Amino acid sequence: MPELRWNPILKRWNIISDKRQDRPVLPEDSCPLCPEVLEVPRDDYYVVTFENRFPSLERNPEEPNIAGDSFYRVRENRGVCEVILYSPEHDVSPAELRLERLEDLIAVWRDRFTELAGEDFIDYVYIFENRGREIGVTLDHPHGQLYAFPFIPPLARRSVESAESHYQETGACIFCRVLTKELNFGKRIIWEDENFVAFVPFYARLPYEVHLYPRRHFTTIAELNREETSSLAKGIKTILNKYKSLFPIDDFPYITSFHQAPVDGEDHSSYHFHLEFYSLQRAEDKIKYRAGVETGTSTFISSLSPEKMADDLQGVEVKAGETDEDG
Amino acid sequence: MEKIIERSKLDGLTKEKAEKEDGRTIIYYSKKPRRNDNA
Repeated sequence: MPELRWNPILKRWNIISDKRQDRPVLPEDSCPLCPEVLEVPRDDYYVVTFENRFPSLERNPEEPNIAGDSFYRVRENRGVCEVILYSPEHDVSPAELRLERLEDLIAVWRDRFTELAGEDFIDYVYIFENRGREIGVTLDHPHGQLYAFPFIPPLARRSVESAESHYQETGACIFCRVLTKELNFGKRIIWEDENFVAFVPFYARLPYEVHLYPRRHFTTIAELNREETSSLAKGIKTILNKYKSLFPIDDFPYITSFHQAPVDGEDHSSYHFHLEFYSLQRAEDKIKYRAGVETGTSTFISSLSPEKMADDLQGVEVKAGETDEDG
Repeated sequence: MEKIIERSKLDGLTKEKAEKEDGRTIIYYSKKPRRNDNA
């Protein structure tokens, strides 16, 4: 019964995908993402992408299994879900990838974004990575994912509308204004170079939430220039290595989330490309759960102040070599 | 066996798009390995 069902109260699509129930969860005998096991018969690649075996959205979907009407709307779950393997090696973590390999990965993200953005049934391309069992990963092999949606997801729509209304009211970009505020305050900045700035935002809602903004205003990964690509790789590597060393635990759980303008054919030039990183690890032995208030009201309660989180991350020395070409 | 359906270049990478036996698309991005290129 794969389909999209409309929530007429919250005005949002939910994906119903019972195929996801069949996914392997942390198999102990062999990794299906390792070369020559199941998904990838070769090991001579840097990065490989393939359509998910258990997709929530499908390029050629089946008919919905239930009929809708004008109130309870139903659509086929047409879209694309891809898996992106960062390395043939099972045990390398994304934080350990060399800068050059991260730049190659950015080139692949840009390539996949550009191709899928050109599909007429796609309105929004979302690139992300789930890392760590606490986040809910089902396979440990270093990988990320891509969802190409046939609609603009609710959080993206809200931020796009906010950017547009701010632009209409002030003639300026709301994200550029946030960046200026953070740079002027200074105490929540955890890394910066001439092209990108990483900071814990004033309004952080999740443990060790970090936003990585380009200084230049542009809307999608397709517009990154060569220097910005290099800076983005350094920023990602710095954040992931700070995460890695923040607590003495084996695998710091985090989510990497790309935020880009929709690709629905409308003008979204007021949007500002950026990445966001979140964790659930609020202390060495404490996990932040999405419980009653967060789930029932979508209001987040953070037991860590953004200033404390920034101070903790600033205090993590990224060792020499972890952000340079020899790392 | 996978069937290669497209080969191209991308920012110094070789891109090979193939079709899996079950019809899914897989894309390999590769580069001639360098010495000590182990991660």
